[in-house]
Amino acid sequence: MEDSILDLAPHFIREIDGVHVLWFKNSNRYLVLDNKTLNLLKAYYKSSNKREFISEVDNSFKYEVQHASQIFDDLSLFLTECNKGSIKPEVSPIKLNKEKKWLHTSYKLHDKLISVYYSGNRAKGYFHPNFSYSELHYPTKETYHTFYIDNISNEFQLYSNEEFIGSYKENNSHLLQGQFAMELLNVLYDKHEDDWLGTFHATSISNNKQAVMLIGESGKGKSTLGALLMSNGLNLVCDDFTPMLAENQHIYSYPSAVSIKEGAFKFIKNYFPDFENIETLDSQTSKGQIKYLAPLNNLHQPDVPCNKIVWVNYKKNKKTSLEKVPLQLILDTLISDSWLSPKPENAERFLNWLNKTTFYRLTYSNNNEVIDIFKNELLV
Amino acid sequence: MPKNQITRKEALQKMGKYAALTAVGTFLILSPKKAHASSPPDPGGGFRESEDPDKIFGG
Repeated sequence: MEDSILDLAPHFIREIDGVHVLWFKNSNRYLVLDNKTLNLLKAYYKSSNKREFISEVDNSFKYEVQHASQIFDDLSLFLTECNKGSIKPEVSPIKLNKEKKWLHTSYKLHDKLISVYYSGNRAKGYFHPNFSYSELHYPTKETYHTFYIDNISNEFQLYSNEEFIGSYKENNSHLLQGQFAMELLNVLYDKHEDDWLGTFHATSISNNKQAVMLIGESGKGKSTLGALLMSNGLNLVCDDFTPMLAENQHIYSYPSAVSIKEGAFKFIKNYFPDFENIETLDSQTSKGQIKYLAPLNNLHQPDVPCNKIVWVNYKKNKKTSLEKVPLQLILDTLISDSWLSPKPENAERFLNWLNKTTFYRLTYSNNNEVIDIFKNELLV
Repeated sequence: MPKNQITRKEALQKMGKYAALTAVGTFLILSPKKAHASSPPDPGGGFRESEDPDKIFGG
């Protein structure tokens, strides 16, 4: 086999839950295979050329020459795609102008005073609703960390303690918010990006000993379920953004408010008496009207292990059920919606963590039944 | 799943991409997000699966 082909080999292969999960270092991509495809891949790497591959698969699989030849060509293309990485464009730093007029807001998050200077209301609108519950309304000099969000030439710039982090187009506000979340996380826990195994697009619930991660597409009831469970004595560790530390694979609390979409207003107000008094904001996206519900028990939440992932599916009038499902049914949602560390040691820990994790699908419509499932089955 | 969406496997087959490999085995390439991002404003589009995870592996 040519050297260049060997370069396309996966860095890790793990058999998890009856399927094979491969990780490619060049691209930070994961590949899920059944047995047959893995054996074809092994034959491909074992062969030094197409002729040898054809002979190998003729012995093992009894494929005709033309078919085997097409499979060889497909595998060559396929492995190139698996290894295709993206190059981050170089961005020239933009110098911070501290002298301009800023909107200054301070928040108390995890006992730390975080100051954020916004260039205007538009910049403030991207972050403030998530943290407004923790806003300090008195002047303080004890700021632990300072962020600046500027707005120059139709882009938003993020600075962490005056250091330029990045510049984001207005239609990429989710990238600005995501990068801010990672920077804030590092400040709150005194960590670096490489310390995190990943940040999952998930809501996490705990009983202070262990956590369950709720995944699923937007609109399937993750945040609503999180709020319901929070009102029933469980801890909402994070909503929509679940950070996991690489060294212990524990989940750490992220102190943003829970965003509740208009469709769930009527439901949530039954559980939070003051809900109607919370300001309704227009998200200016397909999410529509949103209310931000402050997390309860936000302070001193311990980091907790998590070895259960629940794929949430709210379905009106459907019988509530919790069933174990195989890994491959949830891996697409789990990986494609999350940031996972590209560091090999962290990718290996992610695969090892998956191997120790149980996966469920929850279909629910009845609130009391779903609370019972969490309290008496998932978090015991 | 909405009628105008197709599974990734179907998409690959329609494109004729990896036709020989798709015919004999099952595989799925998954890419985590390259940049930190909050919940995207407009979920869906592209090759994202939707509704039922059973569809992912053609189950």
